[in-house]
Amino acid sequence: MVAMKILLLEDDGEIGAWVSGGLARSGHAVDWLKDGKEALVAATTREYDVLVLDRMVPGLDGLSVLKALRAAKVAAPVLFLTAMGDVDDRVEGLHAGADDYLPKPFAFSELEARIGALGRRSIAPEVTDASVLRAGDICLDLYRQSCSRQGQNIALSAREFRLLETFMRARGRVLTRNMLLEKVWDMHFDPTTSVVETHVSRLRGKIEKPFGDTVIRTVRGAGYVFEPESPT
Amino acid sequence: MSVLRQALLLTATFVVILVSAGLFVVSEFEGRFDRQVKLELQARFDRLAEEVAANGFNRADYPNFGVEQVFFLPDGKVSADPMFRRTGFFENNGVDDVPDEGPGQEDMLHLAGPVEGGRLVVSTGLGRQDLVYDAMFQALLIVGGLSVAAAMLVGGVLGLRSQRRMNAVLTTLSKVAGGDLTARVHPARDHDDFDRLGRRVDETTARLEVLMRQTREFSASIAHELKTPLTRLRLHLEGELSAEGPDDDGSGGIRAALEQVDGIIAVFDAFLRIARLEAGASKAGFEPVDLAALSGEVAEIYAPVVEDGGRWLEVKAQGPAAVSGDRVLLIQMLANLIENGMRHTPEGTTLTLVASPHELGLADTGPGIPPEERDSVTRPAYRLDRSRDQEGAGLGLSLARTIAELHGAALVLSDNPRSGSLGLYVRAAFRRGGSDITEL
Repeated sequence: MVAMKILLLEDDGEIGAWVSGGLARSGHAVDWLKDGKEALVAATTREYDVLVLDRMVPGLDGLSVLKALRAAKVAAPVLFLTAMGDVDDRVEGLHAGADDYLPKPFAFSELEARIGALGRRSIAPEVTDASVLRAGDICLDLYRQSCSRQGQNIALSAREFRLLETFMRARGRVLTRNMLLEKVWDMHFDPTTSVVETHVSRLRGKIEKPFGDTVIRTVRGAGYVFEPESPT
Repeated sequence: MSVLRQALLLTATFVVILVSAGLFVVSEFEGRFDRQVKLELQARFDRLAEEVAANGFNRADYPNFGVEQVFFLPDGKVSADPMFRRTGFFENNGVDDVPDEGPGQEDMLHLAGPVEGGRLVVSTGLGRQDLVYDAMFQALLIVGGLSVAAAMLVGGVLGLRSQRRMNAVLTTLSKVAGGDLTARVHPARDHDDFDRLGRRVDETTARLEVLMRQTREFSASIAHELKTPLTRLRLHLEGELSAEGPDDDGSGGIRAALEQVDGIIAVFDAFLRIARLEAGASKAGFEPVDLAALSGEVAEIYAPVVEDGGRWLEVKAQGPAAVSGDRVLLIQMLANLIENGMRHTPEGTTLTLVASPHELGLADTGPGIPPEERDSVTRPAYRLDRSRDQEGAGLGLSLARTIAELHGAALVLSDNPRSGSLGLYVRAAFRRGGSDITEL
């Protein structure tokens, strides 16, 4: 886990304490503020890796803070916390320049995984040339849409290919079910059936089973991590 | 256009009354004038007959100029003309000496009768009568024409104005029916029934708007009030779980509690989504969506899930089938139908995604739903008795209906036409050529 500097704007004492405490335990440095104006000042004067903004806070609401920051050319990635079930808030947040959104109530693991994804955004995956992704002994040719492991070709469907590509680009980071649903299937709701589990298990059947090892690890209560054995 | 039609009908009625009145006046006048002329003619005849009886008829005594004329037909002069035989009034005759037109070419009325030594014919020109007729006809024509024009103008203007005001009310009501509760008639004054009608419509809509806003604010505040404690609860449980470690024996209860919390959140989220969509979510995100391609995509996502659940998923799509819609919501609708289908059918059931330019839905070969319960199952939280013990909050079909209606489509439940009377076919039936739908 790479330590990051995170600004948290959250007015609820208990939630703020849990979130900042949890993030600190994971090794991040967290500035927790309860007021929108203070957050705006902090975000414009200090460097942060990720900003986590709640919409409903006193002083200046999260959306206004976000708009002001983007107007002030503060480029730090923003995770926007929205009210539950509020589709308009999501659209509004993304429109105002948020990089990701998370409806309340959220799971801490979900929050942490999304913060991780935002913070590592600038770190490029292992790319040998522009169109080939490599992780361990797995090789993904983005141009030809082909996949091979240890030199053996593996036939993947278009969606399996996208799933594996998403995993490989997020190497070593937790991807939650919801993140995969959004990135791979463009589904912005929580299906009650095991869509993600089923597809991940099918993908595993193709890239793990014939080779007798594990490259996609299940993180209980959180999601999945792609961690191939590194040849180095 | 009913108001304008009324105005035209009134004008037409007015014209009929006016013409009848004119005809009555003319015929009444004609009768009286006629009687008067005849009385005068009779009086003159009686006086002249006496004179002729006393003095004999001397042509020079009775010079014929002007409209009053006298003729004497001596006994020796016999003709076939009735004037020689009959006593009475004549409007024309065949006697050479008695002209049928006066000096001004006006009609003549004659009274012929026997006198001493022959027959006396007293005539009068009807010019005065014609003049009066002409004057009266002209007056009637001018007054009548002006009245009719005025009636039509006033009727038309009033009718059009009423029609416009009626249309304002109608337009407002259709907007309200379409979900725009901010629509108002805004009557300019408070003079008549139309203003009162408009005012009443405005009051009703304003009340509806307030009620709707209260409902929305209520659900929004429920969401806001509950999201904080639910977030706290979830974070607590998660914290406990990670503190105890993943393999700790005591974590089973917490994990179960966490699952229950997630269940509560999911149900709550579904309710709020339905409420928001029904409150008239904006159609700003609508774009052309190919239903055939969409159902293929959903099948690709769900086929492995359905197969793992021991059922089959097929696609019957006629494409391209483009409608204007929200892709994400339509995918969610199909996902809900599939999940609903998996939950309520036995293993081995075939689920078929159906897409055409006019419908999007799912047919299954399961036990189906009795026709009398088909309306109820799309209500939030309704479940058939036999499925009450199964998982799920029963919101799937309700959300599907809301999404369908947002797209101007009706959610229709029927038997599965592919398997006889077996099974269930749930589909969003798009209106053909409806304003919300653009076909390719």
